[in-house]
Amino acid sequence: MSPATRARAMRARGTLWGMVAETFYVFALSSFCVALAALVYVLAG
Amino acid sequence: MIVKPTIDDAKLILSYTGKVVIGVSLLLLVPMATAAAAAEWDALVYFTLSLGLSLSSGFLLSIAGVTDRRPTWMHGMVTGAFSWIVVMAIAALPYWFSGNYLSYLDAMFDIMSGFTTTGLVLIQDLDHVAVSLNMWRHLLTFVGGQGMIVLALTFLVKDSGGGYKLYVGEGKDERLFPSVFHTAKAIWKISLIYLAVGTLALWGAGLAIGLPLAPAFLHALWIYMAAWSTGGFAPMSQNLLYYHSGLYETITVVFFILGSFNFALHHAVWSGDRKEVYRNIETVSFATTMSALTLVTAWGLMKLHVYPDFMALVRKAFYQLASAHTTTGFMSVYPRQLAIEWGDLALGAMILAMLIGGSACSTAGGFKGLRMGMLWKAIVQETRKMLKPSSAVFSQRFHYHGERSLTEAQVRSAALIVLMYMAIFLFATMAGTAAGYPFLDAAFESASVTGNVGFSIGVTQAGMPSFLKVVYIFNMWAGRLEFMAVLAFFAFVGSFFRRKTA
Repeated sequence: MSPATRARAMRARGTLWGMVAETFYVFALSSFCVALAALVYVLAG
Repeated sequence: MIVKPTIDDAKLILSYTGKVVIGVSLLLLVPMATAAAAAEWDALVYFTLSLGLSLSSGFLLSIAGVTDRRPTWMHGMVTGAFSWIVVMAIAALPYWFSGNYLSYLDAMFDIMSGFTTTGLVLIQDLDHVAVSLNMWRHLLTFVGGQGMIVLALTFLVKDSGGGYKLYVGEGKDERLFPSVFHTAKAIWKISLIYLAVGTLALWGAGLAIGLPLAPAFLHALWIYMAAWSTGGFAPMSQNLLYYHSGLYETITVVFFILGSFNFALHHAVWSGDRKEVYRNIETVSFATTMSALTLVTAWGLMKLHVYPDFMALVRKAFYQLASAHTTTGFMSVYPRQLAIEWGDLALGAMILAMLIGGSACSTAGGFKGLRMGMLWKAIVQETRKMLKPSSAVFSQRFHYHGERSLTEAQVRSAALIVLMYMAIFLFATMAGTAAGYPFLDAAFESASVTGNVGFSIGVTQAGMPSFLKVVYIFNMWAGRLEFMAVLAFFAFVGSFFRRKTA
């Protein structure tokens, strides 16, 4: 594997894991907000 | 008062504006190709005519503005503001030729709404417009999210020094690379990679809910473009409600939250600094305000028993709130439902979310999480100062691509921009009440245009007074450019036409 190909593969892997990390943040925040809504539902329902 | 500008200053601004117009005009090739593929020959004619007229205008401006002058900050700021006005007038041509608008003002309103990623519409009979016209609508909002000047910088302006001044003039100030040309390319790379992923995901969701292959693809592409750019346009008049799909809503939530992130954050995370997403002041600020406003919205809705079923509460409340906070404007309820059913508390939370908005240097509007975070830190610092001895020395720090110290200048700048946002929000609210709308409806719609959101409570319609359309266009424009370029534009025009005084 040439250095250029290796660098491209590393960049692609960085992009993929970056997208996973960002999506995980969205899911974690959404889940937390749903849990807060559930709390309100129980307390006010 | 600024130094009286010369003819050469005006020429330079016209020249760069011409380049932006040419860049946007070339985008018309996409709806033209779509019209040809869909055999929409009428549309092909009016898109070709629009291309001819807009390219000629762009070249004329470029030729009229030939000068040896080098751009300064003033030129960059004024060009940023002026080119948005010129492009609004020119890009409205296909809308007007299509016959789907009652007036040219309505067509320009929709263009400004698209470019600023607001998402409010005055189009008539949206459910039956040409495929190519829908392509043009969504392409504009996608490009508007990244920035028209970013587009021009990528293809037409290679001059790095002048380019950065234009880039800042459009309300963006993060350099991902030392060269603004490479920064513009990186912004496009991030958007296009997510475009491929998002369109594929929504295409699958479309097929799962029974859309045929080709319409499923087109809806996926358009909805993705509107989600990523936090625009909120949709090909159907019912907006996201048309799909009645939890899967569609889930996928769009992910992409509009991602779209509301700072491009510098995407770049840092993709370059290996994955912890930045959890530590950055903007994501922390967004998570805090989103959580607090979820509590308030859910409380408001539960108090009125709007959604007695828990899943309905979560699905409706969280979706509208996330859409409002990221300034997207996708709606899975009817506008009048908000006005009649949601109640003051939930609507108040939505107004606040729309005003706060997403991240700086993103596709989102509002006064931004970065400024919210800085102002919060400044309040904490001032409180600590009051409680500690006068000889104590304070330093407030925040995480934004590394640890940084909060400076007086940063706090002053953030406070001024928030103040100006609030001023034009109140101005449009008063204009709405003057037009005869109830105060809460006027405030909700005003927050929506000022924060470039696109939620409507039913005020924005083709039948609303023309002066209110003009006020809303102004707020969308000023809110998107974050005031500095707009103030520079008015100062330039005022100084250009003032008489020479001693």
